[in-house]
Amino acid sequence: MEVSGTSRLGASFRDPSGFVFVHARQIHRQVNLSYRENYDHLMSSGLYQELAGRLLISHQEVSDPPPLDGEQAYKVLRPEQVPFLSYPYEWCFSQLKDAALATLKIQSRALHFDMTLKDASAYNIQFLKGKPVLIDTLSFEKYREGQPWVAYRQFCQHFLVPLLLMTYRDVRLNQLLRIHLDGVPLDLARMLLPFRALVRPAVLAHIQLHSRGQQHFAAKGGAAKGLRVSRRGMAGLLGNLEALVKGLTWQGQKTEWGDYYSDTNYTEQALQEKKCLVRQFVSRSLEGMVWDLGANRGLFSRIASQQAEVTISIDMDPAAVENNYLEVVRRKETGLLPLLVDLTSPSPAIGWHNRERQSLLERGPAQTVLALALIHHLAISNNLPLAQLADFFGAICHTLIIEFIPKEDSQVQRLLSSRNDVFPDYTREAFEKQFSVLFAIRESASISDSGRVLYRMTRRAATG
Amino acid sequence: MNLKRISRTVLLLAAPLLLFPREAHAYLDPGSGSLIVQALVAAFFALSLAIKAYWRKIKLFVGGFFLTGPEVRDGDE
Repeated sequence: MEVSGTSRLGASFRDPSGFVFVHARQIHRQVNLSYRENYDHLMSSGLYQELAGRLLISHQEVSDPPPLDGEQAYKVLRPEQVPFLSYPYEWCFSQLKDAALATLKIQSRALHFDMTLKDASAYNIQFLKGKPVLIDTLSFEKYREGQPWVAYRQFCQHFLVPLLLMTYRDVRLNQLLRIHLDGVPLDLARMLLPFRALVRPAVLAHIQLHSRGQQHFAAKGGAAKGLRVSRRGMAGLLGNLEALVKGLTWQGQKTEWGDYYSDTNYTEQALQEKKCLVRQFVSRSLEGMVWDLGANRGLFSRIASQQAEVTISIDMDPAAVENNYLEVVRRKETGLLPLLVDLTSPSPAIGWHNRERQSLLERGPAQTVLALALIHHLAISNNLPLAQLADFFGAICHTLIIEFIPKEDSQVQRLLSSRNDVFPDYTREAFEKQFSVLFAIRESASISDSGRVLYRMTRRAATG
Repeated sequence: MNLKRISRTVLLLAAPLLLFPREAHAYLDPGSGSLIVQALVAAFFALSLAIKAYWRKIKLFVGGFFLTGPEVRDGDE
């Protein structure tokens, strides 16, 4: 049955148990008849009640909209809506670690209710109100006594390998997840991990042995038939994975932005003034999602977050995002999502048909974008003409709160110190002129002692 | 620590698998090997947990025998 204004999501094709579709801008999930027994067990065994709202997304069964594919349909669910989808290659170390631990906890709890996770994909976890939750309600299946954990390999590839590589090699290796959509292959991990990691007994078992086992038995179809894993063995396996993941730490070594707030040319008074201005400008914007671009550790994201329900706090520095997320956890903040994105190359659309994972821009536009102390990095370090910058911001927001940093500013001078100044057009006048093509400048204010100017602009209606 | 002991056992028993010739067939069926390794690793955890549980029982039994022995004998008499 065709429902107008309804479309199936591009990422939802793997699991025959059901699929996700959008109706009236809301995510819905069709449960197919083939999944009926498992769904009923999830709901009646007490597992759903145990997990919902904490580790599993809660949902309602609805009759409107009708199923998208009526012949196969058992139920239609409307889950709690996730305001912003993020992907594991956009998470910092501790976000990936917390998502891994949540997955293991869910599997352990599921076994108590005679169910097991059939997937352990990192893409099934989303950050909702500051915490990782499983969004795929159809990931559970009834547990048969002695059944091995079919998602063990996926867990290792999606979580364990990237966390080990980030811990033992380089935190930037989480970007391998962008290339390997089903997680980083174990044989690749074996080659990239240093010896001191590989000789750890747990790593030896879950990575070395696992990878060699994969290769050895690859051509021997049916070799795993009749294998049994006892409940006690499963508990031991999960406990060992949990201990291994919990023990992994990244020290958040000092990077480019580690000390940014104590290394700016703002006086304490100017910083207070900037905070006040940002608060004012955000309060004059329409309600909706805020994206703080170049957010660093989230000082201004938190100011926006006091007024916006959801603030996405984006930075390209792994240490800044890590510190920002740890602050979210420490303060139990529910409205802030720190993410790791390089704005000069934002997350692209990837996967099958380029439709499985959305690009950053497809997940917009935001109601309001904050671009504070950012534009000089894009214009000078990345040679971006002001017109192109205006275009970009015009595509991602309705209201833009942007700080112009003049060329005389010591931070800009620092960027120019090792290169020729080929930016004759980088002036306040040219900035206003270029941004006025797409935006109407509503107000602006100079920040004293700094020469910097803060603007609030709104997107002009698109013409023609 | 128990975890370390368990892991060491895994290492010892896993050693023969590491000697298997490398075969580049991973694209065929990475699942079988994964399940077999999982079963192997889980079996050792199960074994070590069982040993741990029984070891406590044995210790309790032996300890209890020496501590409560005379009283039991008293009662018998």
